[in-house]
Amino acid sequence: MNFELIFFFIISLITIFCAVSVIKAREIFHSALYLAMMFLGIASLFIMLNAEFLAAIQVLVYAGAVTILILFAIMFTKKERARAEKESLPKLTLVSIFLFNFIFFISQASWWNYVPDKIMVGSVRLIGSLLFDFQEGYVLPFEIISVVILAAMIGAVFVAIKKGVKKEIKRDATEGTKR
Amino acid sequence: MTPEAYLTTLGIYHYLILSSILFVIGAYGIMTSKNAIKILMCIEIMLNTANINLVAFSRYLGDISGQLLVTFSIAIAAAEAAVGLAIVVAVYKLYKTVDITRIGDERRW
Repeated sequence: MNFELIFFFIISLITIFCAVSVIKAREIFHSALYLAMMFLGIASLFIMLNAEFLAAIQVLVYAGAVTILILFAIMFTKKERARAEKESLPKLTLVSIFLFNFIFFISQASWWNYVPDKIMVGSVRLIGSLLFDFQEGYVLPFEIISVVILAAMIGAVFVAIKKGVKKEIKRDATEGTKR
Repeated sequence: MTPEAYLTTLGIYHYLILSSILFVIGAYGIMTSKNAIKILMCIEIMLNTANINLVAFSRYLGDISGQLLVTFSIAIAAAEAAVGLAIVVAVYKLYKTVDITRIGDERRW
């Protein structure tokens, strides 16, 4: 047992505990906080995997933005008396079968029994140079992602907006064209 | 791989097994929970496990493009969370509840 492995086990135990608590917590607010904790655990796993940039993105986007978004959605909806969710034995059996399949095939596989001799350090520079490489980079997917996020933002506002406000916007727009 | 090897060195196997455990937890949560927001949270868990897999492969195969793919995946997941929660809020305005067993008809596996 080396130090890295002990650290990994501690972090993975925290992460699994938080993931179970997301499902098991009585209050939905508590599940959202456990979800934020789980995101932080996964960010520390990214740091252990030499992906510092992704760890920072994980903390910013998931633990920051997505958790706040979920908390806002919880506050917008009425606080219901939480009913205890039923344990379902068939579903538990189903997912257990899947889990054993996963672990079996992972332990059987041996073709990636390979550790690179050089460990990637400073992955931000590598990611940036690959992302914006015009010959074989990912410039076009990057631009498409920005359009997707813009469309999702507009769509989210349009779906969640009030009915009356929507009519008002439409009337203003038609009056604007007539004028 | 012998069982002792799992307890001596940290390898890709540990990350793959951890992510499969988390994936199964998320799938169980989607199947059992009744609150729509909790289902969205479980979807986020499952997306995160896919990210762990990609980063682990990128680290142990020495190829940086896995991390690049995770960057795109995080962007898509953020957009998905925004649209999903907007739909939940719109459904709440219509039905005055987010309990999916009381929305629409009762058909759900």
